[in-house]
Amino acid sequence: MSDGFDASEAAGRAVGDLADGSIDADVDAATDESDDDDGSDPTSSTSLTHYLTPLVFAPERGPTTSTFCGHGCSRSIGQILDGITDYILDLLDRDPGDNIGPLGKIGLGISNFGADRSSTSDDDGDDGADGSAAPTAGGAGGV
Amino acid sequence: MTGKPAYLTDNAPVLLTGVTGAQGDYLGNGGTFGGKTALSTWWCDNPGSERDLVIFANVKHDPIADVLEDYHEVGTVEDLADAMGSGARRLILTPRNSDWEEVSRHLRDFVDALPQSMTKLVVLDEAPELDDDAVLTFVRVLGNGANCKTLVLAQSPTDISTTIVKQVLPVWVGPMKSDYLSWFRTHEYGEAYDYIAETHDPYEWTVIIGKGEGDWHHYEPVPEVYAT
Repeated sequence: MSDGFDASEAAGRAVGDLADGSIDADVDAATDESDDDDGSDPTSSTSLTHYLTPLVFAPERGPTTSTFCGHGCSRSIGQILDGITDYILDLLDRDPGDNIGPLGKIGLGISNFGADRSSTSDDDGDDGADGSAAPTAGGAGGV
Repeated sequence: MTGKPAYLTDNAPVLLTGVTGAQGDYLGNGGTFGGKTALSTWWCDNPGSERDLVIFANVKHDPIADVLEDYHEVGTVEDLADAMGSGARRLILTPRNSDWEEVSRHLRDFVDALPQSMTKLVVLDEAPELDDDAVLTFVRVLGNGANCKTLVLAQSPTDISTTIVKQVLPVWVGPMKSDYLSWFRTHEYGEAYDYIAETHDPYEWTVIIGKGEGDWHHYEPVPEVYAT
């Protein structure tokens, strides 16, 4: 059709989730047009799975524990941050590579501000192509 | 005839035709319908009640909603979709668009896009005024393709293309007129013509199921409630 009428879209609106399948539930609803809302949200279980699954299965993305440690975090903090970034980046389906980026540096810097640290990390190494920077021992103030 | 004939409920398309009775008085009760429209509304409400979806395309703006009171009336195919999205499955399409050909094309495309598993009945009133290709698709393709039975209404069978006539089961409603003898003979329904011409009273209807002697089923008028 060239006059702007989208039959497929209209049919989709007409039958909703049943556009490609069974009409059994739809036929039952036809005799009672008013009780759509029984309190259940059919999308809630899908959303829950969407947000819980990456907690277990998200692969390594973005900065690694070593990289965080290279910027002054303790190893335990680096691991936590590594896990958080893996989760967030998996939800966003992004992977900026093994670097914490300017924002990460600023955040860590603020968190370490005034702390007595002996880090030897190189702040200009932003490309972080190798995630294998040796962890530093500045764990005391890395919170 | 024992049992319910298959043509009432299967997907075979049907042509309801006959001399218009719009000026008539259905069974003497002041109804404004001729027999074809009354028969089609009866069909929606009876054999059609088994269908998941029924759509009456009411281009003449007849008061179908007064007869099919539980039907939802809309003005566009888009509104049809919205009404179905809200759960309606008994619908009257009384188009606001005077371009009936466009309306029929949209309706064809829409019905074709619906799930095949959904059984459908579509009534196409004033079929000669609709898009010929759309009507042909309804009768030739959408029966099996979309699980859709189509009732094609025409005041005169001569206004329907031969291609469409070949796809449908003819149903003559009301008295016969000699004007149509040629049409009946052309389509090899001459025996049925003679029978109808001799027997039909107003609003009686005959389903022509073949080309031979006796290949028809003759019915009494449908209840008057479908004409008011």
